[in-house]
Amino acid sequence: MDADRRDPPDGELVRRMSEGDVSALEELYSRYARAVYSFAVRIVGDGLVAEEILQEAFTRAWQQSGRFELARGSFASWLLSITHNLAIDELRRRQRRPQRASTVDITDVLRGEVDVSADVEEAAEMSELRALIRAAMDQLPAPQQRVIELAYFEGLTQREISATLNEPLGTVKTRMRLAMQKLKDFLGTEEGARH
Amino acid sequence: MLEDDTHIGELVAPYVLGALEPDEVERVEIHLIDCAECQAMVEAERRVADLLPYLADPIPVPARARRNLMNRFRTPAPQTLADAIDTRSRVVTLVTRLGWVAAMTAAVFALFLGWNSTRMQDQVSKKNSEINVLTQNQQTIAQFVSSPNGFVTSLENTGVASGAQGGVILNPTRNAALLVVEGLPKPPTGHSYVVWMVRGNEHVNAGILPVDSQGRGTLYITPREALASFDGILVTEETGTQVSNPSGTRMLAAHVGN
Repeated sequence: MDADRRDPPDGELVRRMSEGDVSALEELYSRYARAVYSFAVRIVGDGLVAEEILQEAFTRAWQQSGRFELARGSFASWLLSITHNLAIDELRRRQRRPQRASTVDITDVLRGEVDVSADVEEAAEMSELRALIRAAMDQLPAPQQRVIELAYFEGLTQREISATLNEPLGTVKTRMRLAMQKLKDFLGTEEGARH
Repeated sequence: MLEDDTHIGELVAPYVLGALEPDEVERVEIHLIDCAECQAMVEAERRVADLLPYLADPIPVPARARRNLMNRFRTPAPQTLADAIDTRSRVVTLVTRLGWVAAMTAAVFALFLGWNSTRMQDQVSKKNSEINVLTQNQQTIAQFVSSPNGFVTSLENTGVASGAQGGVILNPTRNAALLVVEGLPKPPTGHSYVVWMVRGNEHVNAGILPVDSQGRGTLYITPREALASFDGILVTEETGTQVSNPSGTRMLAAHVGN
């Protein structure tokens, strides 16, 4: 799970970013834009809204880069956590008032150019992480997978999940706890096997 | 509810997944301030949660997102007071050196020439840029619609909203579709129009269709699965946005199969 193996390492780029180096921001964007965008699309289900979240996530990373501590986790985890908060907030905002926040130039959207740099820079490491977490999720029973998805990707609380699934709250709590325990055990074993 | 008087075991998983109620979050965070054991449990489960974003299928990033982001940072920073004072002192030094009369005359003359030239260049470049935008927009729409496998299909009105009409432009090459409607009434408070990609009896939520006060709306759809695998598009009025299956009134539908 160590994403700081590249040259220059993420930590150095974050430090440069905190000193106002825009090229460091762009390098980090090339490394992580695809992961952030894909994650945002998965939560909000709308490519245009996900684009706004992508830009906002990197803007916040830029603004808060002075507070980032590598010792507390990787840059990717930090950035994806910012993305998660933004996307879930957006989801909840849309539930209250389901209108798109801003207008876009539709011809710009139709043009649909893909950012090749962001694709190229997406390292094999990301694919490795993807395969790892998918394998971990696949070994969970479907009801346990479902509570994880409802909580993490749809921003529902345990009580809301209980209402959505029409299942007792205690059942939801147990499924969530067991699911996380199994994921932790599986990933711990895999991590151990890789080292 | 805390697991016991001293630790928060049961709350750790929902805490890192963001599934606790606000009052529970507050209690967990107060407990974590002084409990190294529970902090370690949270860190361990957070490492698992940190991997969940990678469950999302990788999707290519639109190039305009990078341009828009970098434009935010490449615009000239506003001059700070210190910069202004520094610039001013340099100007004063220069004027003193050359003689203020000569400097001011030259400056006024240069400003006039510069202003006049800039004004003419601005007018020309504004016109050129307007023409370029129009040309590019036309080309873009033409390219999207004339994609080898692309096509346009109309949305059939189910009869619920008599004035509603619209269409879908599909571009399987980019795995994207643009849905355009007009004449849809504003949904009642708490309701929204949800767009579904249909495959047999399966419905995939493709997003909320925002509708303005004129009843017009557009939604750019980039499904996670291949566009060609779906055989229809449906617009329904739902009471929630995160519905997993259509249960509300069917407003518009289109056939998009081969």
